[in-house]
Amino acid sequence: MFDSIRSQFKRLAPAVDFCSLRLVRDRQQQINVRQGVLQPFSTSIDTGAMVTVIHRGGYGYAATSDLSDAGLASAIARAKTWAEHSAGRAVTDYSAIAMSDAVGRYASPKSSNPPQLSQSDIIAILMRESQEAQIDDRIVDSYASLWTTDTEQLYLSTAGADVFQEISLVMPDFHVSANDGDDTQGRSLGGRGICLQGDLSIFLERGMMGCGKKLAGEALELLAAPNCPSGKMDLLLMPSQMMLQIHESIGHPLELDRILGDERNYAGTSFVTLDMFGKYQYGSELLNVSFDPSRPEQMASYGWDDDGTPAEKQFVIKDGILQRPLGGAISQARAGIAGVAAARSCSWNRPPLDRMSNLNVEAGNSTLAEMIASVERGVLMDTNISWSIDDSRNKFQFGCEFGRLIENGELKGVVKNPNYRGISATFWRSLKGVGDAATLEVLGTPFCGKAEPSQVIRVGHASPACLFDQVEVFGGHE
Amino acid sequence: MQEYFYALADFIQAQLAEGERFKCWFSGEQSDFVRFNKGLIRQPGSVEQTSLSLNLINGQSHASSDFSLSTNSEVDRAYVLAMLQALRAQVAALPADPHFLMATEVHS
Repeated sequence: MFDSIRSQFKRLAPAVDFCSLRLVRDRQQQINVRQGVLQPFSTSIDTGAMVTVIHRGGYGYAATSDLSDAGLASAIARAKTWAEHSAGRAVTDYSAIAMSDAVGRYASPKSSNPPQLSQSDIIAILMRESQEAQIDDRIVDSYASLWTTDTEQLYLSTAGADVFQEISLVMPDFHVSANDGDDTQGRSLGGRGICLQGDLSIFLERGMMGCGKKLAGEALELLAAPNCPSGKMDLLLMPSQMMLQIHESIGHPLELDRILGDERNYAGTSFVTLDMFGKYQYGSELLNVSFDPSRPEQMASYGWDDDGTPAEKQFVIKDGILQRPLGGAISQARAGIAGVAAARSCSWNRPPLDRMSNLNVEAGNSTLAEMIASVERGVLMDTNISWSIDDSRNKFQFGCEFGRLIENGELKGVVKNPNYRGISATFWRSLKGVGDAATLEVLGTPFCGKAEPSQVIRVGHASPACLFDQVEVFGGHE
Repeated sequence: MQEYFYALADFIQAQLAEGERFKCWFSGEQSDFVRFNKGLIRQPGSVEQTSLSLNLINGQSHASSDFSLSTNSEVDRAYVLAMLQALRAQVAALPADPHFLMATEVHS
């Protein structure tokens, strides 16, 4: 299929300023066990091509699952028609933008001796963890799963691009709920955050083994715990909550198409404006945030984005100062500002947009013990459970599964329903401690949504533990 | 397209082994999308896609697969045969589903 499409494209490519074809084959499998019962088994294979035409300043795309000559020719004709309709009426002169002629290959890392697990082996492990979570009658629900995806993508263009990328993702997950009267508490394996490129060694080595009993014990501990106290205090966020903090209040506000107003009627806008880049104090000088497609195991690592632009690590925030937005080649040309190779599509049937990829807080110099020792009164929070943020990505409120008090430099008792609120524009300036590499975890989420028609995409977030000064913290209803 | 789906369903029925049953769903779309910003066009385009969701059942064990269709009969029948083979192997290794319930009365 990938070989034959090259000759098809060569034969069918229209005489226009630019044409690209992106062929995707995405294979997925989910194995789920709930309360010790295997759930209906499902797999999927999604295959199709996206054609993009740029001509006389206009732009058009057409996606098709018919990969015959007739199907591709029809898609090319539809894309060309849209380019003709939009010429002279578009947000920019697309023909003036240099599009990709890159050539290369990328593949997800594989360990030297990957485990050979059968379908039955995987089911047995999930069943065991689900059954071992049942340590008490108050454990009312458990859910264990393994989701794997294998995506092959070929990008060709009339400028000479030929980029082939193979990305394999492994996403184990576990969640347990404990109930006592009107109180229900849950614990999970990183809040669906174990999302990595690689092979099944991830399933065996990244927390699934033994998690059923451990997380059930923590859920019961939460039932017995007092509510998180309320007030302004220091806040120590673990990586499994930092993931969403980065995602919602750095990643989304820095998407360039959002800054340009493209998502105003749907996913929202941004409090960030174009004149802020290069000078705005986004966070304290301890804050360094990178767009990093080069970590082999991270969820959204790749060699080229979906417009064929080569991807390399770049800082979007350096020493607290805003540097560059998350925007691909087309948005960069529209805005007149340098971005990153982050034009991404969720699949073959959607056009690329400015997205997060891997967006990481760089490790600092403080050990976890040092950060805890520096706190007179505060709370450690772990694993996101809820979020709410305004459509300019400024005012937010987050809740976590698990909290622990910190008093006079020591970790104290567990607290439940830990929440906090803040404003992106000031929250990151309250960053006063950044954990070292020993505290850093590489996580991700498969569910980042925006755009019309809707696109749900996979993103990575690596972060150390981070300490924030005098944040408004609050607990649940007494 | 409805006739195409019915023909594919008949083809699937003809491939079943003794004791097997199946369910399938067809999804298709031909849509145009145009986005605007301040009265100017951005990202206009169209999407044509068809897919089949196939559930293979043997006793109380079952497995399902979703896959794209090309609407080319020869190509899609080859997909169906490959999917059936894979689903058979999965169903053979799966335990009975205690929650499985299949409607047998026809309503339309």
